[in-house]
Order: sequence, then C-alpha cells, then structure tokens
Amino acid sequence: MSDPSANPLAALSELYMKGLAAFQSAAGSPGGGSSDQSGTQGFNPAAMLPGGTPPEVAAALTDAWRISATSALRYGQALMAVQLRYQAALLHAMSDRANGRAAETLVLADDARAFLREIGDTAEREARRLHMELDQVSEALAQALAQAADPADPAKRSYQVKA
Amino acid sequence: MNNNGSGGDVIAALGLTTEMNALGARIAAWLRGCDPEMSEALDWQFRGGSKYFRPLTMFACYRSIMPGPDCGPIPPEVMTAALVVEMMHNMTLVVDDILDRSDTRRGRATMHTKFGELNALMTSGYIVAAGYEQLGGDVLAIRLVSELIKRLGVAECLQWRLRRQVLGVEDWRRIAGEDTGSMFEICACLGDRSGRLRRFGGLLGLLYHGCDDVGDVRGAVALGGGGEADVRDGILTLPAALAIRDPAVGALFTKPEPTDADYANLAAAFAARLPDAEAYLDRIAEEARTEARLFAVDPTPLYALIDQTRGLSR
Repeated sequence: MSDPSANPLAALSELYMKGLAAFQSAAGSPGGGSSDQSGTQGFNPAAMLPGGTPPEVAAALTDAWRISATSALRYGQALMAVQLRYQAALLHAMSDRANGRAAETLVLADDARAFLREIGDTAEREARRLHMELDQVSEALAQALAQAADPADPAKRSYQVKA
Repeated sequence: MNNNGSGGDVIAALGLTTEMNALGARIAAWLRGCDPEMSEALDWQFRGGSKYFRPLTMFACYRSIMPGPDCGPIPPEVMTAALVVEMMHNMTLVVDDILDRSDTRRGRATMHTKFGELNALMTSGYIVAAGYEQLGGDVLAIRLVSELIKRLGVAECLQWRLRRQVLGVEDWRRIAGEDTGSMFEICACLGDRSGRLRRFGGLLGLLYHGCDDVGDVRGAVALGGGGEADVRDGILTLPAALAIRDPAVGALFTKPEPTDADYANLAAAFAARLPDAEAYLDRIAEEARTEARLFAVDPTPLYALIDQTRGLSR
C-alpha cells in the first residue's frame, strides 16, 4: 500500500475499503442492517485523510463514502429481493419440466427474461441513484468552496443544489 | 399508438390550468400562421378535442423537479417543447389513421377520410417541419424530438413485423416501451431538462399503453366484442401476451386464415386474462411510483399522473 500522506487517491481508496468493511461488519452485527449512519458509529473516515485537507473537502468525502457504502449495501439487498421474488416460481417450473409434468415453456422463458431484466434494472437504478447523490455532494462542495473563497464575489456560482 | 387524454380534474389538481390554457393559445397562434393551403386540414386535426396528456406530463415533470411556489411559470423552452410534442403526437395520429384505415377518431372523421390521403400525408410532413422550426436553436430539444420520431418509426415497424407470433409479456414490454414508452420518456426529458425522470416517463408510457390495451378489450367486451382491430391484426397487446401462454390460444393467434369464430374465441380468451393484465399494470404503476419517489424532488405531481393513467383501464 502506498503512503497515504503522499498519495491522496490511494488514501481515499484505502479509506473506502476500510469504511465499507466497517459498514458491512456493523450491518451484519446484531441490531445492524439499517442503511443509515447508525451502523458506522465509531468509524471516522475524515480522520484518515491526509493532514491539511480542507474541511469542506473532508466533509464532502465523508459524505461520499457514506453514500457509496450505503449504495453498495442497498444494491445487495435489492438484488436479494429480486432473487427471492423469482426463485420460487423459476424452481417450481424447472422442477415440473424435470419431472415430465406439463410445464409451459413460454411461461418459464417469460419469467426468466423478467428476472434477468429486473436484475439489470436494479443495477441501473442504483447506479443512477448513486450518481445523483454524489452529484449533490459534488455541487454542494463546489458551492461551499466558492462561498468560502469570497462570499461577496459577484462572479460566484449562483445555482442552488437540488434536494 | 394510443390516444387518450387527461381529465380536467387532474389538470386542476396539479395547478396547471393556466399553463394548459397557455399551451392552447400557443397552438392556436401557430395554426393562424400556417399556410392557408394547409389551414383547413390542420384546424380539423388540432381542434379535434385533444386533452394534451403529453404536455401535461411535461409540465408535471418540470414541477416535480422545480417544486414550490417560487419556481415561477413554466419556462418558455418547456412550453415550446410541449407545443412541439403535441404537434408530433398529432402527426403520428394522422399516419396511424391512414395505416389502420380508421374512418373516425375522437368521434369525427379522420384527416385522410375528410381530406384524402395525399393531403393527410403532406400535412403530416408539414407538421414535422413546422415542429423543428418552432424549436429554433434549442439543441437539447432537437436531439430529443429526433430521438422520439426515430423510435416511434422503429416501434411501428417492430410491432407490425412481430404480429401473429407467440411471444411473451417481455416482448410486449419491449414493443410498448418503444412505442408509447418512448413518447413519454421524451416528454419527461423535455420537462425536466436533465434526463433525471427519463425512466419514470418510460414507465408511465408503458402503463399508458397497457391500460389502453386493457381498456380496448374491456370496452369491446361491453359492446359484445373484444378489442377487435388488434385481434384481427394479430397485434401483441398485454391481454394477448398473457392469453397466448395457453398453447391452444397461441395456435389460434398464429393461424394464417382465422375464421370469425376463431376471432371470437381469441377475444374471449383475451377478456379472460383481464384480471392478470390489471395485476401486471399495478406492478408497472408501482415501478413508476418508485422511480418518482427516488428521482423527483417532489413526486406528488408524478403520482397524480400515474393515478390518472392507471384509471384509463378501469
């Protein structure tokens, strides 16, 4: 592993992996499993950033870490939900076929295709959600830095971050 | 392609009465500026009683991204795009009516019936060109409207090529998603100006298409038939996709020269699957609600659109 103080990107990568592990550990422990910040108590990603990181940047990266870790967990849960919803029907139909009972190929194929589509939809939806949430952090950071530089500057960014 | 409208109740509930009136005024102003040679046919088409559900979708998407009393009126670029979407929608209706040999629409003669096929075809081309003229330099809208027209053309060819085949609900979903789905996808993008509600729009269009399929069967059953035009053309509607899972119904659906008795049996089989079709539509509505909840700042206007659309089949 490279020296985090010399390589901020490596530090961020290390931070993310440690944070994700802590989050998953917390989520898997009794009383865990929620996707909010309660599972991360005691873990402070900002403390792992190189010294001299501006507080606005540190706060944004902490937010980004939390959002990314929550997204990963949520994605896993959503995939599980899709699999649970379809597995009974698919296994039942396949069992019927294996036992020579009258299984309708079209129904089985349709269910299998719906299952595959929903797997893809789940990934795509979570990716869009993650992208939107990280965009909000990014915009908020840009705005915070612009205001910190010179609040009276008439050329400062004038947009509002969407909720 | 489908053609139902929005009710006054939902327009008032969304607080969009002023905007919809403004759109009506924009359409009237455009009609007044058209070439006199085309005026009578265009007037006939555009004053035929459309309820502007597509523009309403655009305005609701805009409101759901920019909520609150301080967001101001619908911006000019969204209003112009709403005008253009309504123009393009009417162009598709003219072409559809020619292809379907439909004599009437909305209770009055179709354009080709009243003015002849040549006039109807030339007028549809005139509408497309005039629509792009309205968009001026709005590059985003030009790109989206171009996408829409291309996808609608592809969807019609796809639907026709796949007729009278034993296909599944997933195939219906693909066809409907490209047909009505693409229209509402683009409406959402033109309303939110970011693409954030694109998927919501696609699901709303899919719901609209499915409700129209079911409504056709339900309405025809009430009249003693069963969505007869689609049955005779072998179009894969949602009730058809569910019914032909039964091999016996599938055999009838693909029969090269069906008799009147075969059509009647197919219609009855489609009607028998209406409860399953309604349940499937409920699931699509739920998907659309999830999209609205996750990606709109204020999903309330989008929920109203979903409820309005879902009611079309009941």
